Amino acid sequence: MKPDENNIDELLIDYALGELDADETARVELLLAERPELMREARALKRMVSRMGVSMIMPPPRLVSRTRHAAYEAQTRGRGGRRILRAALRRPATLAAAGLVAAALVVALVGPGLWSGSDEQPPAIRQAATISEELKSFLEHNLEEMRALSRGEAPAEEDLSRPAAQAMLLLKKQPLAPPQRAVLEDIEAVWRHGYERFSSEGHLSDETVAELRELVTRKRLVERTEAMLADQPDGR
Amino acid sequence: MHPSDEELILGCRRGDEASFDQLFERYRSRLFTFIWRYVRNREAAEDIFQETFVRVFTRADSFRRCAKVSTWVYTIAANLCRDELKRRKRRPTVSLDEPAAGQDPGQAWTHVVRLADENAEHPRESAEEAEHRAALWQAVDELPDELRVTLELQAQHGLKYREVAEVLGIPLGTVQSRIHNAVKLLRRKLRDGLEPNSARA
Repeated sequence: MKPDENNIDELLIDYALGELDADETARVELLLAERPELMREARALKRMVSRMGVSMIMPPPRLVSRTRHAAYEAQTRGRGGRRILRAALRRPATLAAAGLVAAALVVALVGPGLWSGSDEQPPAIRQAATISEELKSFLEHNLEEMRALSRGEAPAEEDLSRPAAQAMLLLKKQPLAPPQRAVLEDIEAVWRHGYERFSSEGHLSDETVAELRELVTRKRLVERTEAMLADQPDGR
Repeated sequence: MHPSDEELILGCRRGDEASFDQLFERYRSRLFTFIWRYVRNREAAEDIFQETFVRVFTRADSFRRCAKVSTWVYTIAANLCRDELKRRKRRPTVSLDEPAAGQDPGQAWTHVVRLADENAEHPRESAEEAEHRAALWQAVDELPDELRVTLELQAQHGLKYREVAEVLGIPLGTVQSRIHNAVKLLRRKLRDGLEPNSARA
């Protein structure tokens, strides 16, 4: 079967660019053998393609060494954080179970009516509602990140995985009042969403940054985190 | 025997710097060329080049075995280039590299020629061939950006149409029509002066 004459220009371009399969190539070559003007055009196209193919721009040497150094450094720095998140993401069921066991244990110890927000809470409950230094530092750091995000600044990509991993670990090991737990879960969900998008797309796109900003705003994360920090018994 | 790209990516996953170095050597010129000609701004190109390789090394574990390493690497670079162009659109800046008309007449080409001259593996080209090549690149530089970048990925970087579609995140049919249009425009521009014998009867 002869190639379609209506698309002959496109066919010659595909031929010159090596995009035809063996059968199509054979058919085009038969046609070229019969039509010298098409043969000349095909040759000119092939010459053009080969002229483009050998032209490359070398990166300057200082950029080469700067890039190598940055890659080694990022690789060394990044392995720890990503490992934590991957491990945490791999066992959501374990985490959920751990959370339930911890909650059941506290309820069993201090009884129902837990964390009602009343000033008459027994000391054990006040203690459970008090946030640790570790949690405080986590909240302060993320508050800054979320404020920056609210201003439209993209989070540091290398740090995207860490807040989610840290939040999950804190959720697991700290006895938290439900409102505190909800804030932490929301922070974890926002950063985890960002990290998942970032991993699947291979980069942190403007769309992802906009989504994260929207989540932070919708969940009122800045205000709730500020309130959680301000609510502490010692006035933090 | 040289390790394949896929073997080098496996090495990168283990944090092996030697594997990364080999991959870097294989792709550095190609990627720098692609990025610079995509964003047409030296400073931005250098930043994107660095970030691309940082991601190649640190995110080697997100590479899927069903894909080709070259497509994956070019996709990372293309995404960063697109973000840079979007950012620039929102916050236009003046760069010494970047002529006001948005074109980069001759600058990238100067370096292309220099590399070709220094490359001992290729015989030194004749003055006539150099003239053809210069005319071609001038015509390529005058193409609309979308057509130019799409064509360069295929003709200069050797990616197949479907790989170009993957890298640029556009349908295969769009790649084909962009490339067909780009080549027709180039042929029209070049037909007049330099290759009188190649014009169709």
